[in-house]
Amino acid sequence: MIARSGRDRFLRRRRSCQPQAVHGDDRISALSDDLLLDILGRLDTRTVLATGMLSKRWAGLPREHPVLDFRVGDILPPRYQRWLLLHRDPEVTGFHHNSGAAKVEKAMRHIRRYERRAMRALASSAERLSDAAAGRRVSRLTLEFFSTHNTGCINRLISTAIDAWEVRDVVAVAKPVYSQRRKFHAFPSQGICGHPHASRLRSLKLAGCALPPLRGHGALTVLVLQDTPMSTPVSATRRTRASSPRARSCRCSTSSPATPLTYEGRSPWTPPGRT
Amino acid sequence: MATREAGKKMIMLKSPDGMEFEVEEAVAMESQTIRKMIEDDCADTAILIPNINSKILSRVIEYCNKHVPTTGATGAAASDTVAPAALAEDLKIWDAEFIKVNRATRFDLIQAASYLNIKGLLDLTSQTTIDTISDNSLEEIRSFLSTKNDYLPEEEQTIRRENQWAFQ
Repeated sequence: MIARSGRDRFLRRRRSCQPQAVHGDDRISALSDDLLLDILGRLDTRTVLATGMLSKRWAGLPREHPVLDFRVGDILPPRYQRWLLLHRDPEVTGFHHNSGAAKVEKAMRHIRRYERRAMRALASSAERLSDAAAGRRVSRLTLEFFSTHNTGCINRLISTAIDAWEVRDVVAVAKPVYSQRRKFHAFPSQGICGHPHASRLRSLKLAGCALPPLRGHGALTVLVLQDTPMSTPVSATRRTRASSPRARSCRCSTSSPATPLTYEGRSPWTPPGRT
Repeated sequence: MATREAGKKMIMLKSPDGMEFEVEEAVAMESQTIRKMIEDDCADTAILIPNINSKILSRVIEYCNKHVPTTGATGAAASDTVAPAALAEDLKIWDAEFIKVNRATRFDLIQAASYLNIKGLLDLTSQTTIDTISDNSLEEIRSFLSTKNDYLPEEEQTIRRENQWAFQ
């Protein structure tokens, strides 16, 4: 297939000398938007965004694509994984034994560098996407990022998604950088978006994040919390349930995802001691 | 499958270039669009399929014939004796052979599958395009799709900024 495509390219270039052949040949751009979106729906976010560059015909399609995935893991190079492996399992790889402390230190430097670089790229891309907010429709936004100092872009993207794109489902996973103590991601104290009362947010899943205030999110019915700060669960989730009475299901696990603390039930939650 | 002996109802499909195809109702109903027409009783005499020429329509019918459950030349007999897994494998090989067509035909088939709403055929025909888009550089995709870059340099800059995540 690959071998053939090289030859095909050559043939096409020769054929493109005949104007009418080129004109009649771009059949895929003649397909309807719905059909092209259906095809794009089977591709990952980065590939979909790349197709916007193909031609003007394609420019608007990524903006109609309902799913956006921004995962820092998608842009970490294989070399990063190799350094991780070396550092994490020195006995298997014989790394510590053969190379000494200086090399281990070097591995750590590489790991940090790749993490910083990936997070910078994610931050800058998220900013650019927020800048070009107009005319986009997104129903599901997934963000996976390192909880470093430059996560303001994450908050801005989530806020843009709720306010401007009327997103329905948001997943935000904050991961600690390698071999450092977890730093929880914090949302702005005024909440995750500018206009919570107009929010269409239906489900919110947060991992490694401090629970933000969710007052006013009337459409929110599912809230899942994982790896939240120890102080969060009881008081804050209860506050959330009181302020978003429709939240039917609130699952929360502070330490291990295997033993989640689950709140279920349709009736509005009543704080204890008040009947 | 119980009605197999009871005589099969036939449906006439007409392409815009005047060709007529007589197919079993079950085969025609692989297309959700035609199924709806039949169920709404809009299919008394012949169904005109607009925008799909006879060459493409005959390929589509060939596909439906093969994929209609427990009919066709060997279907009913085979399903009793051959394991479903083997049947599926056979169908996969047949599909791979079926899709060995040039690009123009493939795009026509995508369009036909979409209009006639035949999910399996749409999946099959768009897979090559999906593979191409996900595995190649922009220039290669453009050349595969015969799409021309019609952006002005500054427009290209703007759209690249917006979609920067794709190029990290």
